[in-house]
Parts: sequence; structure tokens; C-alpha cells
Amino acid sequence: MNCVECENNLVFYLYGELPAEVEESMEQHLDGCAGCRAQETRLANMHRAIEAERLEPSLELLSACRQDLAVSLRAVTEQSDSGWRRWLRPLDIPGWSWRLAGCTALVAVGFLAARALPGSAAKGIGGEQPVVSAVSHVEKMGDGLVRIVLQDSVARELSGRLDDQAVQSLLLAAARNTVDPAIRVDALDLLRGGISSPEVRDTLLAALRKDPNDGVRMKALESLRPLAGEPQVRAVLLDALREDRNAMVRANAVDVLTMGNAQNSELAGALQELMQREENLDVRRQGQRVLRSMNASLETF
Amino acid sequence: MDEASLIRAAQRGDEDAFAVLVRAHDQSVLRIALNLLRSPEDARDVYQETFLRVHRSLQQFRFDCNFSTWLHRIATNICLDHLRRRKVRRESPRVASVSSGQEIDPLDTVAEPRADSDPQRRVLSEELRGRIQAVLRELSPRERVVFEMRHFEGMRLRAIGEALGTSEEAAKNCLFRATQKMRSALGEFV
Repeated sequence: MNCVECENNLVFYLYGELPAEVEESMEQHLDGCAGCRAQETRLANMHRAIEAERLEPSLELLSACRQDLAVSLRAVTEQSDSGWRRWLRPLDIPGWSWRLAGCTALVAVGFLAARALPGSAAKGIGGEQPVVSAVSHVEKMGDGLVRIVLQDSVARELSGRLDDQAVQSLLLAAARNTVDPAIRVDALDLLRGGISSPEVRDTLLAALRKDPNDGVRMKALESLRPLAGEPQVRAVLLDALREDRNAMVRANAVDVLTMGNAQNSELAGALQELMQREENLDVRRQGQRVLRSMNASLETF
Repeated sequence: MDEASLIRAAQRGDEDAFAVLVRAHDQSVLRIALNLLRSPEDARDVYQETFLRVHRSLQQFRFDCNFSTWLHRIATNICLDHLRRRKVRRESPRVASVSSGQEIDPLDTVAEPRADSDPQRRVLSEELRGRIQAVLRELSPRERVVFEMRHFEGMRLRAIGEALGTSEEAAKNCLFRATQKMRSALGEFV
């Protein structure tokens, strides 16, 4: 490779966008050419200067955006549900007749009336408690009848200390099973206080391994920090470093893994592997820094 | 529930599933918009417009690419429209208003921990920052999108090409041009 080719490839070299054989030629050329090496240093300095201009949205901005969107989506939903056709939307199955739709409406009206009237079939549900109903099944039965299965849930409020077994069980269930990731994050955050419990530790490890939400995995990772020296925890942290799709999680995994035991040969191996394929500049730099601090080479050979 | 199941549920009108999808991806959309437009207000508009458009068009998503690629395509197209409108208007620089002789930078409302935690560096690099901002504004909208997606989001050129509906080669050319402009403008500083 000559200096002109090197100059033309320098940008892509620093971004890790070159094929392996071209990257190797670049490195050989840079090792022997002080002028090109100086250009590389200047370009790397420029990258660092630009990196400092990266903006992270504040939580307030994110929260304001989410509120705006919730309001707009509510308006959109109400607008599209404003007509009588909304009764048909959940039962939008090809072939259903208008007569059947009429029956459906009557069933719904009858159901609502039954709930509202004292002494009706719905009286088993506490009258004062708020009830949330969700349709879990609808079925055409013939003779113009439909069958609808509703799952009723009653909202209840509980309070208790974090060391209360019942409170902890509910938090563990919330961390594992709730659909809303924000509730999972809050539950994991509260569970940090009970990290000595094997159940809490297992829940945190499971969240880091397989929760689909980046924020939940980040929270689990942070919560596991005090246990970073335990072999089982380190194994999951190393998996996160190797496989997590989110760069922030990978970067934080490096950070947590280096706590206390920077001479870990397994960590060095994992970082060297990571250097082969990591695309994110921050994670690459962090990995390189740790490898240098361990006096380890930056790659596997 | 995995992402494909969530998307299918949202396509059937499940608003809770849609909310989970939004929460999984909205920080990255907001970060892209904020870095591209360098204005919290504009980023807020882009966030809103992106997810409303996704909500409207979700039925058209056919799983022939990643959901995040599809979402980024929508978000970056909206950002590109904003940038093009700015180019036409030759929008005023980032310092938005002057009050009692004091310039107010709207980006001060944005979390910027690295800069804030080292005020000395912030003062020393003020001129360099100004130069970087000036060059970013002078890039063509497409160059800017490619540059910021590669540099700030760490996206591969292939993924950027997909998000912009263009080829990897075209994205590569944009990145090269943007970097050359940066180098020539910042040459004496680095």
C-alpha cells in the first residue's frame, strides 16, 4: 500500500469499516510511514473532539416526548373510535355479517347492563372496587349468537417493607413478568436492596441475559455490580459483553467486569475477541484501555 | 414476548404492545434526532412525528428488514426534511436568543455530562466546538446524517445505507466527503 491509498482508506480504517486484508495492509504501511501515522493521529484527535459534541437526551426531554406522544395517540385512537363502527373493530373478521355485528352490540350492552344493575350476575365482584376487563376470546356460535370471554382484574394497592417476603415476591414477579419495561426497571431497582437473596440475584441475572428492553438490562447490570466477583455472575456479565446488542450494555459490562480483578485472563480473552468484531467506537476504546491496563495484546493471533 | 410478536400484536391494534415497542426504541430515535438537529425542540417534534407515522403505517411493515432499520429510516427521513428546510431558510445558528446581553444556548437544556463535568476543558475547547458546529451545519443534509449515524450512533455503513434507502457505497462516499470537510475545517486545531 502506498501513501495515497493509505490516505484514502484512513477514514474507514478508524471506523473499522475496511476488509480485514486491507486493514492489515494499512497497519503494515502505518508502522513504516511516519507521515501517514501522523495523519492517523490527527484524524483520531479529530474524532475525539467531535465525540465530545455528542448529545445525550436528558430524561426530562425523553419524558416530555413520551407524554406528547401519549396525548397524540389518545387523540388518534379516540378519533378513529368516534363512530359506531368502533364496535366492529375488535371483531374485524372477514365474512361476519352486519346482523352478527348487531348481536355483538346487544351482547355488549346486555353485559354492561348486567354489571350496572344490583342483584345481577356480576354481583360477585366487589361493587366498590375498580375492575378492568379484557376480552380474551370471541367466538361465533351459530344462530346469530356470539361467545365472549372476559378476563376481569381488580386493582388493589399494597404497601410494605422491602424485607417483607410478600412484597419481595411481588417485586420479583413484576421484574419477571410485567409487560411494561418501566415497571420492570422500577422493580429491579427496588430489589437491589435484597441482592444477598439468591432469588433476587437469579432474577437480576435472568433480566440481564434475556430481557428484550435495553433499559431493563442496563438496570440489571448496574444492580449486579456488588456481585461482580462471583463466578456465576461473571459468566453472565461476560456473555453480555460478548453478545448484548446494545453498546451501552456492552460498555458497562466492561466497566463492571474490571472491578476488583483487572488481571482476569477470561476477561482479557473476551475483550480480545470483542476487538475483532466490535463496531462501536466507545466500546472499542474502553476495551483497548482495559487490555492495555492488563498489559495484554489488543487482539488474538 | 419477543419483538416480532409485539409488532404483530401492535399491527392487530394492541396499544400496549405498541407502547412497549416505543419504549424499546425511543431513546435511540430521540438521540439521533437531537444529534442531527442539535435542537431539543426539533428533536421533540421529530420524535412525535416518527412514532405517529410508525403508528399509522405499522400495517405496512412486512418484516423484510429489522424493525429498527425501518424505524430509523422513518426518523432519518423526517430529520432530513427538517435539515433541508433549514438549508432553504438558512436558519440562524444554534445560539437562539439574547437576553440582557447574555447568549442562551438551547442545548444547555440537554444532558451533557462529559462537558459539564470538566468546565475547564469546556472553556478551552469552546473555539473548537464552535468550529465543529459550523462544519456540521455546512454539510449537506445527507452527508450530515451519514456522518452522525456513523460517528455518534456507531452504525455500520451497510445499516446506514439501508436506513437511508441507498447503497453502502453511497453512504461510504458521503462519509468520506463529510470527513474531508471536517479535516479541512479543523486542520489547525487537531
